[in-house]
Amino acid sequence: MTHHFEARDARRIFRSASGATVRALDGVSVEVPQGAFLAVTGPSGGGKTTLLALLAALDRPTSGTILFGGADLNEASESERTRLRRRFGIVFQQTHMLRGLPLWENVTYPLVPRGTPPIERRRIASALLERVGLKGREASSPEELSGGEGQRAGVARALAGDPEALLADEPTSDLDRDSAASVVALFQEFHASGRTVIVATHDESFLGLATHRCRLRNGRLE
Amino acid sequence: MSSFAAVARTGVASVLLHPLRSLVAVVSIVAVVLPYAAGAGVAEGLLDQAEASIREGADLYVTGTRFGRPAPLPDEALGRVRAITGVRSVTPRIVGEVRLGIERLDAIVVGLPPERLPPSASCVEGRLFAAGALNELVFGRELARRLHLRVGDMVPPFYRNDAGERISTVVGLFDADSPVWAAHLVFCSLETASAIFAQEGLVTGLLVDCDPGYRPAVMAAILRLDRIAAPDAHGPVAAAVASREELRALMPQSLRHLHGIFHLHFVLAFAVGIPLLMVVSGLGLPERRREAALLKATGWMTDQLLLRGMVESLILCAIGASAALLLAWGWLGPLNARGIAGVFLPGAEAAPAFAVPYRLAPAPALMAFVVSFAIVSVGTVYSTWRAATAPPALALR
Repeated sequence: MTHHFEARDARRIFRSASGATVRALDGVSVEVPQGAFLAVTGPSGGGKTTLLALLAALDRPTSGTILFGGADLNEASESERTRLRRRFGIVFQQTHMLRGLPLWENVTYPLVPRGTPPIERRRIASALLERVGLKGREASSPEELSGGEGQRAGVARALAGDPEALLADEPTSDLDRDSAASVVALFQEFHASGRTVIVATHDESFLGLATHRCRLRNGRLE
Repeated sequence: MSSFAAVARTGVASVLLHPLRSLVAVVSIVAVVLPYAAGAGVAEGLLDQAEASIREGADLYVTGTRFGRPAPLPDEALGRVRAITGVRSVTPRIVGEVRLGIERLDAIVVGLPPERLPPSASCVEGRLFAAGALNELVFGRELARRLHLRVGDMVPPFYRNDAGERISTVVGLFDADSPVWAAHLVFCSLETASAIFAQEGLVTGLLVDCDPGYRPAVMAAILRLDRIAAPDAHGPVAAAVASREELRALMPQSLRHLHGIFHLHFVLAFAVGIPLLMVVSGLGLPERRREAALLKATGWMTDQLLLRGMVESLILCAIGASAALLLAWGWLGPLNARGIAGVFLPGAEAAPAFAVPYRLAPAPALMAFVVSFAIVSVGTVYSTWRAATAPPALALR
């Protein structure tokens, strides 16, 4: 059976400037079927972000294989991997907004290389910002947003390209209860449309939605 | 909207996205391009004036030589040249340098018949010197101003010859299309010039105008003359002839030489400026890396990031080069090439007292723009390429 996402014996080793090696991921195998909701849990430093980066084609494993739709991402060129990422929505742990650009531009910046006209981008941004509870903040700059607002804007950006899968790294970690609930609802709505969701989280709300779970500690599956 | 146009548009916006980085890049471009544009402007202006002088000069310039060096010609050479078929007119001329006033200002005395004053020089006050009159001087207006002389003033003796010292009179002031002339020249009769330099019966050159079509034949005939004049106590004087075309090629050579030296200095300055510009254009490298990684992570292709960087570089160069050219115009026009004129005009003060000629030619401006663009692009595009080819996760950590 072909899975939507799959990691086979994936290892990711980082070398620090001092030459020390850190095994961020140590032989992890995960299968994510099409339309699944995978919750990746575990303590901080366990390897959740690294696994997410490998599955999202943001990084390459030191060894092992990452598959997307059965295709080996290790064999894909950088441009093929970039093209592939257009099919994902990625929510980063830090908001990573472009300072100086208004919020609507930030949210729809991934659509620029696809040639979406600014008027259409603005319309999409307004709709998405409304969905994440940031209605009327189109012209705000990222510096004006609180941590929670920034995280919700990050979710809006991930949804801008109407992706077939959503990969999120602790999307509710900085949010209050109400905001977190609205983000969880967005993910639930996204998943309900038959699309795949992978979330690294400590949030119990997400665990309730998950169809699949895995727990990482010290780079290994527990 | 095509993705190309959409991405290019973000390059324009990127200039404003990082105002400090953009400002420093523009200032650096201006610092490198401005002196070059100003220097090239003065050189071009002087070349234009040299061309104009030659254009309104004579068909042939005859001088004497001894040991292959310039030597004065005896008066009698005038008659021998005039007798050649095809010669329309021959004008004797004396040109020599003197120092005037308590400031000991360098000036060039030009002695010639009054009717042969260059058309671009016109008497604006008083009158011209009379033909054959002694010690009547017509000063360039700027030179007169610097020497505090007015029409009717007596010029204390500034030369001494066998006849002793003579007081001269300022009978007129002239202005010329070439401000350098008005700042350095004194016109007078041949007789006055002979007296000033104590070289009676000698001239420094002959200006020969020919009938249409006769110039090559006249030139050959002068060179074929057995003797342009009878030998004096030191032996014969040989004739040397230069045509208008030869002068056109030769006269600006010294300016072009200076221009060349200036170009060399500019290249050296640029060699020093290149690392500066590259550092400047890569300023905020961590920020650029993070930005490139974020855009890659959200689906921007490497070539789209490079296009964005190229457009940003183009805008910065256009702003920098335009600002540099505007400032160069201000430096050459309202500020009268203060500080740079002396590079091209030996003897000119740091703040020249005459209007320094200049022309901002398109070619040097374009060259400065292209080189700036190439360098800023290398800094911008290279740092973007480095960031774009690394896995985005590493730069976003």
